[in-house]
Amino acid sequence: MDRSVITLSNEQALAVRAKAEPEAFAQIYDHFFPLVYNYVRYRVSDGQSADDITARTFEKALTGIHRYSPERGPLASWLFGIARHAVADHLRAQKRRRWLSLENVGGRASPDPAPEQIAMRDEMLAQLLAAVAQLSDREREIIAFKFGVRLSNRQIAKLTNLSESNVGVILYRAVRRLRAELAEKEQDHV
Amino acid sequence: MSEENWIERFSGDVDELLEYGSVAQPAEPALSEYAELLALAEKLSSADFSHQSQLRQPLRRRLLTQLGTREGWQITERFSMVTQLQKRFVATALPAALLVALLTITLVWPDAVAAAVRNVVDFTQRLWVGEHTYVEPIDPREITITEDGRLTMPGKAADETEAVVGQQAFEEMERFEIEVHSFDSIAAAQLAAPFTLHQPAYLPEGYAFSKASLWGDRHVNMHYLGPDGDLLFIQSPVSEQPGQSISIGLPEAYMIERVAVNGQEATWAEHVLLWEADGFSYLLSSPNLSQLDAVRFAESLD
Repeated sequence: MDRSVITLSNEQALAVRAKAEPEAFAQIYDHFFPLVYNYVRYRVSDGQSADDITARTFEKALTGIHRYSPERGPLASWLFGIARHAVADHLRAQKRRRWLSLENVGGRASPDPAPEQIAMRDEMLAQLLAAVAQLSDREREIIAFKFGVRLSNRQIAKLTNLSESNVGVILYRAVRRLRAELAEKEQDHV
Repeated sequence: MSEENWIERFSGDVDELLEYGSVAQPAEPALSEYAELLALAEKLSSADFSHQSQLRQPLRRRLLTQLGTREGWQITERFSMVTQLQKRFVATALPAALLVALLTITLVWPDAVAAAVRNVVDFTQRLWVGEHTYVEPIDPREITITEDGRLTMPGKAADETEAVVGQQAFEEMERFEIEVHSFDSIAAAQLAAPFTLHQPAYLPEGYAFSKASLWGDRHVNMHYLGPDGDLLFIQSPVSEQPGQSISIGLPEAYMIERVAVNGQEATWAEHVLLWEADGFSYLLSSPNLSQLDAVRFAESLD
């Protein structure tokens, strides 16, 4: 993914057409799905919740697309505003419910044995997510916006109501904590 | 270098990494720890979890289908749906029409008393939900809301005169021995209901029980209030006697999908879930209800 993915070419016209044309909404969906999913996945601890929240985000986007106004900001800001609220709702509910998904207690069984390469990639992703899960909500959100959506510190600052310099500080310290966490896990493994 | 300097450099380097995929060799060599941070940033930026999603394609299909039928459901959006829980022993068309209208009001304007209906909807195609419940399409263009908020539906009434739903409708219903009682707690509704009420262990975020109503001995409507509006849950015991079925009218523009609730086939219509289980027919509806939440609600019933 290159950085330009956060804006979609011709997105204003596309957003207008998406109010009525499935084809236009499909372009928005195909473009933003991986970004929204990755953002959500960095922020919650299991894949099923990430699916639920991503679905809720796009459902709200579909029902609310007629209210989107390009003058008030790019499509990504609007969409990630929805995603951010959906994650916040989920996290609030989690605090009350405290349920454990299969992934949290030892991993979800895969119906088919994955090729070794895929297994290694998934193992690496699982390690990353386990380390990210040790961060605070705020740090996770900055990591999610930075690496899941590839936003600039300025864009993150706008979405989170933090200052740009504060975003930079949180990002740097969060990555340092992640590095320490991963190093510790590696040490335990040895 | 101070931490402030490292932070500034890190932010710049990460942006460069995200923009170009790599970081140009700096004039000043970095500490090994810093190089490791950048390596980790590279790993984080290249991580793509989206292939793990189980929903990507099904969700895409569902959303596009919904958008494709939007012209239809925009018309019907205000109505949510028109529900008819009509047992066939209701012999004439007029009381059936009144029941349809009253349930419609319960769904759309739970507290409303002003609406009107002419007669019974002309059903043309039937789709069974389980063994005792069926849905039939109605044309939403034939439903209109008058300026004073009254709802009218044309159909094949025995009596062509318009019946005003409200107090008069309740009087009509009473004539056919149907009483409607409201309760502000589930416990109170349970005391009055002639069957055991089922309750969900799961509710969508922010929702809480608000009120219940018992319709004769036939069904209980439970209302839950939440951030996305009113959520209605109807439970009705089904009868094993022949000829006694539960009929539900839905706008014909609705996209009907077969889904599974606890492994049993159920029906999903835009934002309405219909299913049967353990001798009951269930209906769950809310204008912004997602299929995921609906199925989770259904599967959590005690």
